[in-house]
Amino acid sequence: MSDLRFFHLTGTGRDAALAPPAQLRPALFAGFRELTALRYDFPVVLVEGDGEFARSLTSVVDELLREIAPRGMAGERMRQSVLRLEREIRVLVAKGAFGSLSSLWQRAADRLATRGGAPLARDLASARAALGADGEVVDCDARLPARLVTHAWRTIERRRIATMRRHLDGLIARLGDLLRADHLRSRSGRTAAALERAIGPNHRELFDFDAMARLLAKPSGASNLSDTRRERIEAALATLRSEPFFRSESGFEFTFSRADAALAAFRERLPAAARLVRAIAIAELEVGGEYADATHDEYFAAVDERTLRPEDLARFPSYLVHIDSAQGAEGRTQLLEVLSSSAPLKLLVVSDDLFDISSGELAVSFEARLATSAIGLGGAFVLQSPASHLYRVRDRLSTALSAPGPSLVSVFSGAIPGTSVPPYLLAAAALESRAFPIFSYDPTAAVKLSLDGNPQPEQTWPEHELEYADTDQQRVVQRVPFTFVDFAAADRLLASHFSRVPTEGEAGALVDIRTWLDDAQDWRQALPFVYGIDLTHHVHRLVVDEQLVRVARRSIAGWRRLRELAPHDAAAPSRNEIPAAPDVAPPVVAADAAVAPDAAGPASDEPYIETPRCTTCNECVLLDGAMFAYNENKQAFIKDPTAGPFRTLVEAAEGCQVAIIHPGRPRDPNEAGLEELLRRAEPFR
Amino acid sequence: MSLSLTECLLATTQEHRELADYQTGVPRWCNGCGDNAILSAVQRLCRDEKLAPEKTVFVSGIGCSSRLPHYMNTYGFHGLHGRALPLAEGVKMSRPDLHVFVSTGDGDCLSIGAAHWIHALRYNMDLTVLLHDNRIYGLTKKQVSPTSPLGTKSNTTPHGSYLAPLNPLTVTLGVQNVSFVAQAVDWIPELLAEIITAAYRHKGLSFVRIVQRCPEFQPGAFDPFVLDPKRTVILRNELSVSAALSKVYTNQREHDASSIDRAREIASVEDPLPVGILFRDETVPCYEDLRRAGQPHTPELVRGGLEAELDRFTIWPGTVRAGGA
Repeated sequence: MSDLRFFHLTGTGRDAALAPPAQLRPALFAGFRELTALRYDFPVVLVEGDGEFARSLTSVVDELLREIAPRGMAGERMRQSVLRLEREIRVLVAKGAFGSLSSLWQRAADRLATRGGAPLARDLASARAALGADGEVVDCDARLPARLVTHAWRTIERRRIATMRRHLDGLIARLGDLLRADHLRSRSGRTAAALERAIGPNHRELFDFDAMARLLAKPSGASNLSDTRRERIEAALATLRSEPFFRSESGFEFTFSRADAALAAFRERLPAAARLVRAIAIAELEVGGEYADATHDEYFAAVDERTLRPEDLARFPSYLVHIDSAQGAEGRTQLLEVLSSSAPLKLLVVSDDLFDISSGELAVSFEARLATSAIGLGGAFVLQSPASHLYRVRDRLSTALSAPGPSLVSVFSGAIPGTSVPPYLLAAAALESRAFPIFSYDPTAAVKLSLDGNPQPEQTWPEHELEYADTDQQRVVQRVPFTFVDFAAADRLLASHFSRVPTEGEAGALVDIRTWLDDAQDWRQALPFVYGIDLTHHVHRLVVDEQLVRVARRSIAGWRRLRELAPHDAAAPSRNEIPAAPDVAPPVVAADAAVAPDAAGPASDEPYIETPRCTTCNECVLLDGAMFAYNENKQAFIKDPTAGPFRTLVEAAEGCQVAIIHPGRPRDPNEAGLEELLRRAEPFR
Repeated sequence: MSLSLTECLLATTQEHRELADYQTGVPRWCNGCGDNAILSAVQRLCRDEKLAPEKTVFVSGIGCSSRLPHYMNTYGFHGLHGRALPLAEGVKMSRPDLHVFVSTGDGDCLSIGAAHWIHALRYNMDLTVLLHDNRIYGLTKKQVSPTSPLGTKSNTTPHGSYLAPLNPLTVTLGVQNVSFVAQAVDWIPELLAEIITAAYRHKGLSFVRIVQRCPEFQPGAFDPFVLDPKRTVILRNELSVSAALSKVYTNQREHDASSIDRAREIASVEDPLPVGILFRDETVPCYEDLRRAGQPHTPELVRGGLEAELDRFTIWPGTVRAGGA
């Protein structure tokens, strides 16, 4: 035990026999051997065209089967054939094949046909004909984050650009119409040559254009455009036609590999953006006939890049910056500068490893901490997700890439160099262990921080069942947490932070890592351990050194901080939560009486109308326009109570459909029939 | 689609208009008619939202309700019976920049125009539809409409009507793509104005059923609700209800308008009468956006369209089989 204690404190193993097994993996990985046999989120089809930008192969196949394979035995053969093909595509992609879904489909079908014969080939050919979605197929590997995010960004930008392009083309056409109409009214538009050009070539000989020009010599209709207006329209047209932001060829480039270059390009293009915004605004006012020289000339003279409104800037394309893990101090400063700015830069930062040992001390890398740091900058949309769950958080990815201003998408690829475990498993393990939780921070939302997508978010560590046979070959089932240290056991570079426990006899001096982290333990009493497995799936207990425990403590403190910042589940029910039972109360039938006047207005001897409740039914104003009138909302009030007798007030109250006129007390005690009138007025008191 | 800068500059030259500036002519509705309250509410909306009369269109079909465009100092289109919605859709398709309102009645919309009603909801074009529901054909002097209560005696049903009334809210909430449904009553003008404003601001087809009194042919039909505020339940979500109104209408409930299931439950309640926004879904796409309405008719577009049409009737040399007619 003294060897293990020495190891825990120093990280140095005295006994080579206690070195962790080769290809060490967390014990909970035992259940995942062959990913290609599973139907899960990968591979993903990067769909071309409208609709969702990405779909899992599984969802594409399921949709196809719903369409072509009827339920029950009738569709069973087709279902089996297509599911075999799905697995074959998965195998191909896992081996490094790439291409569109349709090409991989054909390749996989050809391979299967050699084994399955003609019926299978026929099934797969007819299924392929019904295949709706197509696009590049990507697996969860080191390249996935860049390919998926770039594809999502291109899809969003293509839509943004197409929308603006249509608007610009519409404005160009309409401004052109204004100039054309003006030309037709002008003297030059009515010359014989101009008139001849306006007639199709087939029937030109039928007309005498000189005679027509003489007849039309005098312009009719509205006067011509003023020189100022024509010049303004022509200048706006020239800017709209030559703009470099919304055209596919010879336009600006919007993808970068350095944040400083992207920021410089954005700033350099701001004057051009301001000129375009100015031209669009002029065009919009001109085509609507709303341009007022006296007011608007002065405004437009002052429009430049400083006066660009964020809403208008958000119409322009954003800049995608893909940054690799390796960032020097200068690069890190640039990232923070971009994230603090208002520039529409979309930063994709991909980490292949969450740990940094370059300084000699084990620590979580800068890239892995960047997203949590970016929250503090306040103005950037931040999304963090391991690559394994990028497909699951695709809606939030879309939001991040569509958001105005800067966004950070921080992804852990799971492709740890030198590790044989599939990147999908490692990325998912980083999420499970809280080493790289999913979160998004939307600076414009009411609830800014969301931890949706994390497993068992109410727990410090997610728990799972570990089932194994002990030394007596007895089945043991244990619920074990998946901790930061378990995740570290999958990283080959960190193997030196683990030491194998030699015998069962010394188990009493060991404490599982969760207990160790939760309740500060004394290393003199016990040592922390985790379960690991080797290539033959033998379970080992592994003691952890103190350095790794320290990093684990910092990591879990980070997760707890996120949980404190995010709203609690109870306080923020999801949008789809079923609301409480109907709360429309059963009818409470009151006495057959008008609304009690004291509920709406003061009991008074003066007549009054509950004006806000007036329905403008005209009854009272038609009865006596001198006594009753409408206010600015066309609701009645008593303009002059002395304009008529008490009888008029009572009749108006009786005629009012919503019973909101209160006649008060009579002014003239000698008015004829007063006793009866008072009786009739009583319900309206 | 206009830039924020353009909107800002337009505001610098915008004329201020009073409610009376949106009024034209003298309404020829009966005294006490609930249509007056609706007219007044839409005029308030136009004034408060600063709608330019030349950019605003009121479209209607046939019926008392459909006289409303005559009294608005905006553009208007008094159409055929039941056809207000397709007309309004055509206007919107051609000129998506206009504010298009539809004024229709329970006969116009729910009977002869029922097919258009269903499909207009499905198309979800950006229209504000005001259903004036007085539960009777008033213009033709009292015949039962689809919403007339069972047993209503009228010129066409002297022994009382035989069918249970149709509930426009539950039908509306059952149509795919429905995006905004509200219920108002003409006798609470404050809420009527609030609801119509929310409907106008909604992007998509906003359907507002306005329960409306007809003192001439359904006298006293709504008195139980008019005279007893407890028989109205105000759905609280985005509407602001004044303190004075809350004092009178104390029966109020919080309602999550994003839940269509809750909206359907509430829609089926007739007593107490629910008033407010029942359902809203901003994510439903508008047909005019899907079809990219309002494209300028450039010579290329017109030529392309004409050629596509003519190509349909063109017989290309070589396509006619030998011996064919």
